[in-house]
Amino acid sequence: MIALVTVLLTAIITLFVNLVNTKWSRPVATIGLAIALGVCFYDFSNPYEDASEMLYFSHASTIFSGLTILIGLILIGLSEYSITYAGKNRGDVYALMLFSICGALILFAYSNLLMLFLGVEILSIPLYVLAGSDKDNLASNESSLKYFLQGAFATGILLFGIALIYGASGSFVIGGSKANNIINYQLYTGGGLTMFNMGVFMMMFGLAFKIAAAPFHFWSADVYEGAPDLITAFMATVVKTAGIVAISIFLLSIGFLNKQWEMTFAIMAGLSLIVGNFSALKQMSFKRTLAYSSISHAGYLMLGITINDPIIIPTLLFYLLAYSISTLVLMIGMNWVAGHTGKHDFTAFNGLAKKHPVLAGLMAVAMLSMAGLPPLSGFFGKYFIFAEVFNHSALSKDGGFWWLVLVAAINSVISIYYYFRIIIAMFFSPAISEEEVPAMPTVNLFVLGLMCLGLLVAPLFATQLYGLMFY
Amino acid sequence: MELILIPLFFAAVQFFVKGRTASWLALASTLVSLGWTICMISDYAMDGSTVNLVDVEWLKFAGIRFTLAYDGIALMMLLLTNLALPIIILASWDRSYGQSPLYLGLSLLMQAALVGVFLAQDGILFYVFWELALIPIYFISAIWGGENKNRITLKFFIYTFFGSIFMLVGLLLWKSYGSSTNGFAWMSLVQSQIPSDIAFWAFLGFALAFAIKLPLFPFHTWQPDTYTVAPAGGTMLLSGIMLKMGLFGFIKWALPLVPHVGENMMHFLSVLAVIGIVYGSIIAIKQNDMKRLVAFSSMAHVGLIAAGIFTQSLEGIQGAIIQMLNHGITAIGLFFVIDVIERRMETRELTLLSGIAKVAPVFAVMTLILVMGSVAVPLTNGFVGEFILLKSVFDSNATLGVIAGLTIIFCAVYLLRMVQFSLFGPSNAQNEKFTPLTWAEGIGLGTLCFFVLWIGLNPDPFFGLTERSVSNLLSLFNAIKVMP
Repeated sequence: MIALVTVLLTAIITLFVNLVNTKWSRPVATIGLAIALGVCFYDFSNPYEDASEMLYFSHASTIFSGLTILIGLILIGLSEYSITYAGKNRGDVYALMLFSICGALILFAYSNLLMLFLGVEILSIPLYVLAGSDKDNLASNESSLKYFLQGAFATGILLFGIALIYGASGSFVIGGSKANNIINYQLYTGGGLTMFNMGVFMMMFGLAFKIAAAPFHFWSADVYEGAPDLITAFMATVVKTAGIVAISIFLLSIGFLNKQWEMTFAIMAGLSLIVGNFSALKQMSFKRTLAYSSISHAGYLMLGITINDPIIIPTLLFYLLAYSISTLVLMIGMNWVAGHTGKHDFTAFNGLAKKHPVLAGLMAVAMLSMAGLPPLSGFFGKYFIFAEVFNHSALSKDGGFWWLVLVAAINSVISIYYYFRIIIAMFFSPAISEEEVPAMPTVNLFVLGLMCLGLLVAPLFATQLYGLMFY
Repeated sequence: MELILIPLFFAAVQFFVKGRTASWLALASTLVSLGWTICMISDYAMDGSTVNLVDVEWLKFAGIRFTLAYDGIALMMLLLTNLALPIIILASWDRSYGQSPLYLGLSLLMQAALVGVFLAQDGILFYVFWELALIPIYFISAIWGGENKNRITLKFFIYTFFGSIFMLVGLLLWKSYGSSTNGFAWMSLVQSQIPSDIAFWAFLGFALAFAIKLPLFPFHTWQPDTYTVAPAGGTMLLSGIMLKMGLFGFIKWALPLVPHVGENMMHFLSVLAVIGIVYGSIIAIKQNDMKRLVAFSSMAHVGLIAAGIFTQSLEGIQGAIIQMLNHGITAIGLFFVIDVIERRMETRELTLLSGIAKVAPVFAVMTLILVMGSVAVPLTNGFVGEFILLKSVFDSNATLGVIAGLTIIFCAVYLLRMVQFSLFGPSNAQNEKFTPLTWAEGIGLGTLCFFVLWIGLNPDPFFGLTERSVSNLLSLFNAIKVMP
């Protein structure tokens, strides 16, 4: 709770500092986020439940908040180069990113559908602006408009769903065992159940849009490609994390209610995997490939949610941790190379390993983790999800979704093809670009190195991480 | 444990050194590993017991432990790995990549992963090492490879990864649906009760992973290309050690599922293996590129080893294990010979070579010893292994045994053809380029020839090392209770 306030205050302070001197905005935002990260430790030992049943900061939500703040910290802290496009307005960009993080923190902790809606809006509206923050770039403007039009539409449907659920149950409250919980809809007879199901459907529509799960993914490739690299990295990590956690809190707390939602959700997971991977195969642009790969990662995460058991939450956390860290390493590396060569194609990376072996090596480690190769975290993220789904199918009478794991397994083989294209470009192809890519600042390389080290050692501490979640 | 840490440590050291120092350090590291292995073997009681090295909790909630242990079979594989690595480093000594810290570091990383595969006693740990071994060899082949390397190595990587991901699914099935009391621990999995339909799918997953790694017909399509395109050191790692991972996996991880699945599966696999023998041999006869020729011959030899394992008899598995060592020695030797020729003559085409024996008699003698070992002439190592393997296959199915026996004839045809074209015949003008062997080549080839003759003349210590372990393993598998 206090972390949320800290981030909010930092955002406002950053806005004003920017008026005084643009140069100070990045240190201020970074320090504010660092303080917020520290405050998360305090929050962790003091779970906070709002009396009016709006927010509940549990251990799990605090850990997710910590993850998101950490992502923001890395992105903003290392943004000296990636923010240059914003000129004098960089403070505004930071402030909007911080506001967006506030929205994400609300989504980790909501216990009321109104707060869900508020969180989604606070998360999204700054992003509509941020996607278009590179004002002179046509692609960025296009990205902003596309995101806004479709995003607004999806949010509208989400709101409609919430209204229907309220109509059926007379309540906005989810989770816990309170009498006014929406799952007590049985109290209402007549057309209540149909209305309730319609509401759930529309909410799933709206939230699936946010995480770019198929078949609601069409916006993502263009938006991710057009937005500035910094914002793409932000969307691929923070928004994905917030969306997945919001979906899982909602669906797990209503327990899916009936089988057909479980099946619908499983099919969406399978579709995301297949659509994301197959679309990524033939892309020329590395950034666009990452956009499609993030669709398939949404598929893996949704696969975990199908087991309909809160035990999956730590597994989702681990997956999101591995996914976010490796995405950040790749995006920051890509930003550096693309910023100096002027293009995001695979060919821009040709021969990178010859000139900058350390950067290429770190990006390769992140890529291998994304592809799910042991002993990196990405593998364990996938493995834990597969294992949970299998355990669940072994116990359940109807067989569960073991077949979906096969789909996911085959897809992770397919994904090797496009993930390795960047490794092939960096290590095994001769350089063709005339543009000289300068060496990355040592501090940035050091942080990237720490992140890769984290990918390597995180599996050793997975037990402790799981312990924290159930603390 | 030290066997994994030593190569890892020296692989890390490679970051800080350059040139010859790197090569010497790598060689020293592999020699220390070899010495360590020999000490372990001499300390081993030969009674088939399992010696625990390390056993700690790793991921408790997921039932994964970090357990390493060895028995006679694992020791044999360790001997192969740690014997092969110094020779591979010697073989790359005069190549430019032999001085590259990256190449040496990757080789050492590969060594650590291979040792892990042979020692792992936990399913997931086994999988982790299994995949870890793939990454260095991919980079070695793709960085220093020949023509079309990007496409071919990516195909190799995706193909083998495709197999292993199904092994992971198989492991999960085995643990989730079996009544395993201790997570993924090997012993617990072996003794667990698993419904036969689930066991069937789990077995298919394992069999696919191992069959692709071997490679068993019809999953071999990655192999000839990859062997040809990889640098000599990489080819030796692939053929000498890496495909033994598949054979070892069959013995240790797939056979325990057979009682649940039924014997029919084994007959089916044996037929595939024997098809591979004949198919690989016939193609090898027509090859003109020496590396490709040996690649196909390797497929034939491995088919016979696999057929021996599929008999599930003491003889078959004993023969398979000793033949794994033998095949490692002769395959590495033959690729070594080819590399020696290629470096001097700048070609591997048989039609362009002739009469090398006239200018390099010592080299020719060593080549002949290795070829004899591969053809399985009596008093060489190949004879010892192949004879027992053929006997076991014949005992379990006479028809298959007879067809598998063709391997010896075919092998003589294509390898002697290779020797005849390259070593004998009139000496051509190009042979002036054939400089004498360097010390690294001499020591490497000499060691291999020594082992060919030693195992051929006195195989008893090698059989003794594994005999009790194999019989223990088989009695464990026979005691498996099948769910009604």
